[in-house]
Amino acid sequence: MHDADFVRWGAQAFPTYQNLLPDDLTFGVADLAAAGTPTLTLLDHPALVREWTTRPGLAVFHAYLKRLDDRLTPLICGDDGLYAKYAGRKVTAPEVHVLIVTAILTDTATPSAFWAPLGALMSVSLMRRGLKRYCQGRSTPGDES
Amino acid sequence: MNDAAEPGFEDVVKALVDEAMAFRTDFQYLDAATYFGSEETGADGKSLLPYYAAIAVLAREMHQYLDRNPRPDSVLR
Repeated sequence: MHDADFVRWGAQAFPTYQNLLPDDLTFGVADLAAAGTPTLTLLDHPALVREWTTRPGLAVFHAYLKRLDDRLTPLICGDDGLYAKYAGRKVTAPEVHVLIVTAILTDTATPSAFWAPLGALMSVSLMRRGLKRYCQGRSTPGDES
Repeated sequence: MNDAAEPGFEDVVKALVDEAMAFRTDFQYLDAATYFGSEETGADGKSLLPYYAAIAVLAREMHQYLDRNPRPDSVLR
């Protein structure tokens, strides 16, 4: 990610942000998560929404999703996937989030309070973007294609 | 629930999801559609940009934290 942004932004690229007041971008969220009291409310601030945060964030989101494709596609897509169950009101949104976050963190880290903020942000972004949209173009083992 | 999950993990996730769902999305950001196209908004028509910004800031902060405080699960697989 840094390499891609470095071409345009140099040392000011994510995640270095040289001379872009990096101290103002540290909220203690990782420290709180490590202490067992994770929170995301500190990141809810319109001032954070800038090209130099949203562009790398979008890239991280898609790169992470791509890494998780083998795990998430069968979980979410297909006739018995979470999207179908959610659309059919067989599972609730909180249940879907717990299953997605657990799958994400079991595959790539640990299902722990420390990693939970990242998993929750990924899951909420995924669901707000749309599970149907995620499944478009992805085939599951049970598909006849 | 996965056997390897910490006790209370499910409640932690639900609380964090509630916090994330409450993010402010009702503001306009420059010419976002030009920058992001269809990635700008979600299925509900609301902006996704606060989430992408939060992912970047969080990833950066966790990376810095793990540099100072390594853990057995420091590296994403």
